[in-house]
Amino acid sequence: MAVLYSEAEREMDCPKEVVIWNYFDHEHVVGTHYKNYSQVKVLAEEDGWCLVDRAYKLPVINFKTSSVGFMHLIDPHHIKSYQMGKMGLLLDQDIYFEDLPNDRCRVKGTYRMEVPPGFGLLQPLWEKITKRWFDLTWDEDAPMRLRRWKVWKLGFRDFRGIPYINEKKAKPNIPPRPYPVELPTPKITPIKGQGVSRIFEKSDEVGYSRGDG
Amino acid sequence: MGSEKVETTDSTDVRALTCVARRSELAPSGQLSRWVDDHDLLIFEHKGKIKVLSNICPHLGGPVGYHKLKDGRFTCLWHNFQFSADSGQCIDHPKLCLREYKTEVRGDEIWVQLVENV
Repeated sequence: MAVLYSEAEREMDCPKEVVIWNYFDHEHVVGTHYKNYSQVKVLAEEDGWCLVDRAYKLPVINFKTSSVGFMHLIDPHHIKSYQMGKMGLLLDQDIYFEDLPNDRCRVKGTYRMEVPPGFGLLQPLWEKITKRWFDLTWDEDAPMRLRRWKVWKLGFRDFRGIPYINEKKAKPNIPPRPYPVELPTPKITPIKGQGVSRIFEKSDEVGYSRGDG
Repeated sequence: MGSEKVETTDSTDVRALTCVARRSELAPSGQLSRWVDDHDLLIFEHKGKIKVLSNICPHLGGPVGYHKLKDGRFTCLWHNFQFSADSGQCIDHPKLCLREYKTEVRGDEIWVQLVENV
């Protein structure tokens, strides 16, 4: 067997716990990543792991496919992921998280796939696709993580919003609070039964708020 | 606007109105969103009227006004929750609702009451 391998690394201006939430918030893939993901379904999940079916379009080669992936938070610094695609090849992925000062973090992803002999020649294409994928999803996830961290610091509560805004009161003094990793993430969509689909693949985008990020 | 010092009707009263945008800024999409004093405001023109809703999706905090208003609905970018532009009510989950801010249009300026209750 030959092995295709690549890695990519970026830094985020938010704690690693927010990034881990983002990885396990499966519902957002057909929202935030609506241009590339068309469907997602959680097949099973428990504390720290999940089995997810996703349909998406690969960049560079513009290939529509799907895969079933097992994702496991091994420890607070490491997610292990295995994805089996339609062609029967297994993508072995690691995501490592490192704390940095001032509520920042570094994220490193590795992509590894064993392929039949001779297919090692695909290494340059492999690097191009996986790095493009990492960058594409990162660029769409980064403002989401930054905004999530921002509203969290303003007292945001899931399914409720920000109390001082809803109650039409002056902003109180809000003491810092840690961002907890709580898995599985709470859900009110049918993602665990029938799955969820994107509601459009093209949109007139106005963008994030001025002042986000 | 935005990160600039905000203009209010009375700097001693937290319930004073704040100038949050100019009507001319709404072109060409008819809407904009911006943070003002830790409020994320979705400012838009709908059925000939200027309205301001909270831009923070109460589900998980996503940006309600990321996509252009379509068929009277805003669709949050993150998880596709849809909200009525008329009422701020979430169409998918009726228990969720966006705050509507009291708004006044003075010439080209859009003024909003960020704080109503003391």
